[in-house]
Amino acid sequence: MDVRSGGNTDVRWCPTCGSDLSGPAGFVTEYWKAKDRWFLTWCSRCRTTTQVCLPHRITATEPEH
Amino acid sequence: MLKPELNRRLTQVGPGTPGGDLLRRYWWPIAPSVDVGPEPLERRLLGEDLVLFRTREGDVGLLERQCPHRSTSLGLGYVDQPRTPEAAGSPSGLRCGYHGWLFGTDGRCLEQPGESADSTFKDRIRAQSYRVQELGGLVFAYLGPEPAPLLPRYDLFVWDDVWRDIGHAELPCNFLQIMENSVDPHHVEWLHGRYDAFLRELSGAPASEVLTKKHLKVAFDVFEHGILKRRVLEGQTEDDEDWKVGHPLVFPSMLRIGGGGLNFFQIRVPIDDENTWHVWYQTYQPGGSVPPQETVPAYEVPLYDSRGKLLRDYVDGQDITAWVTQGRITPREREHLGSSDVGVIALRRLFAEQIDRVAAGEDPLCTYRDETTNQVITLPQEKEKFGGGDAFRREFLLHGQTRYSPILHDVLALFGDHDLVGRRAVEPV
Ligand code: FES
Ligand SMILES: [Fe+2]
Ligand SMILES: [Zn+2]
Repeated sequence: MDVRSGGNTDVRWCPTCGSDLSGPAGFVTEYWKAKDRWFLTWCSRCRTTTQVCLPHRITATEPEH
Repeated sequence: MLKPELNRRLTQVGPGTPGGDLLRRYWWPIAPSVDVGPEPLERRLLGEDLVLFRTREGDVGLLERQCPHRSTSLGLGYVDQPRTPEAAGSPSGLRCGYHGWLFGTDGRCLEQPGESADSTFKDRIRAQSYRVQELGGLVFAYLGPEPAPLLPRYDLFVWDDVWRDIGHAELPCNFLQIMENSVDPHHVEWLHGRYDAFLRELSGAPASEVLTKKHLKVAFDVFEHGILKRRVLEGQTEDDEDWKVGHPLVFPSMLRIGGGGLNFFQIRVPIDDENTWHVWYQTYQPGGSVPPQETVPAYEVPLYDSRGKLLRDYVDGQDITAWVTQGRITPREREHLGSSDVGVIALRRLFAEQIDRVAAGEDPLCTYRDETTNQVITLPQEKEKFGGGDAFRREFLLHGQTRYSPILHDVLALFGDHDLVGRRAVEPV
């Protein structure tokens, strides 16, 4: 798997208010946790920080039963 | 991974850029006080060329570097008394070495020796001047819009009963990658632990026990002074000070660390987009009163060995090598961040947020405008660093950039570290 996304961050819109984050002021930074791609965003319009995960696989934990 | 436009936005420091507008809202150290005298110093700060001088009366002046006459550097100048009868008795100023125009610390042109005595030409000339203040052995400058905020009186600058010294170096890289190092606790165990152990093994010396401890957990909290960092090292619990108290990155440009009576700031002063003046500001506090210091000594920290290779046989040289080899402005579009880099992301987010605040006309984080809250700004910081303050101090004094301090051996004696006095701190390279 090529982990380099070549400047294309895939996350473009503020998850909270929908503002366009693609301009120079839109803060989107990508990092990796195992096989999952994570994006941290900061929106200057609604001033919210969010984390978005593009998961390799959806996992859940089951309580004891 | 950061898109190139955002990398530029966060790293530009010059006038008229969003980042430069944010950074202009702060006071910046521009020189150690001891270095400022009648011979002007040429300095560059936030992409602007300046000259700094001290008049005969003891006032410090900071002017644009290019003389308003025909643009020779006022670095080719000297502090001089006015010579015309009209100006007799006025304070001294900076005289341009080329044709002798004389400027006051406020930038007013006081004399133009080539013009006739009754000329009013000089009254229409003004060199751009900037605000300066001295505190704790440093001269600070403010290049931003009025009204200027207060110069923050952080504890180490104002404490009594301490000794101080100031190491400094010009580093060929942008300030932000240096600041990112301050929210990257993992590098300590690798760069200053394992890599250092490798070098020491080559030279036959034992590895440091202080710096190789494994990180179990790190956390970053944005708070009133910037970002508070906490860590739990192997063998520690959340009751240890490294977690309970932590230590701060002081926004936008300082790291505060210390332990065992050695407390210091690392201050990253942007010269321009590709260069940073790095200041290591130490305070030494053995407890009780210490003999007063006449002046705060300053020294230069060398970057290269005799073959032109970046020095890396000590803690700060390892950091410097890491920062400088990342590139002048590290290309964040080609990085691969992992989950251990969340502190770095938190810092970038904080910068992006504060840039937006200034663009919206607000004061950014760590702006002080009220004298009553600016008497002494006490910063939180663990004392028992890495589980042992004295061990930290002993390790850092000989294995940090303080090895170049002219008062190192007096400081060791001050702390009673007599076994280390006379030990050769600087290994041959
Ligand atoms: S492992 Fe971090 S920069 Fe190489
Ligand atoms: Fe370091
Ligand atoms: Zn939003």
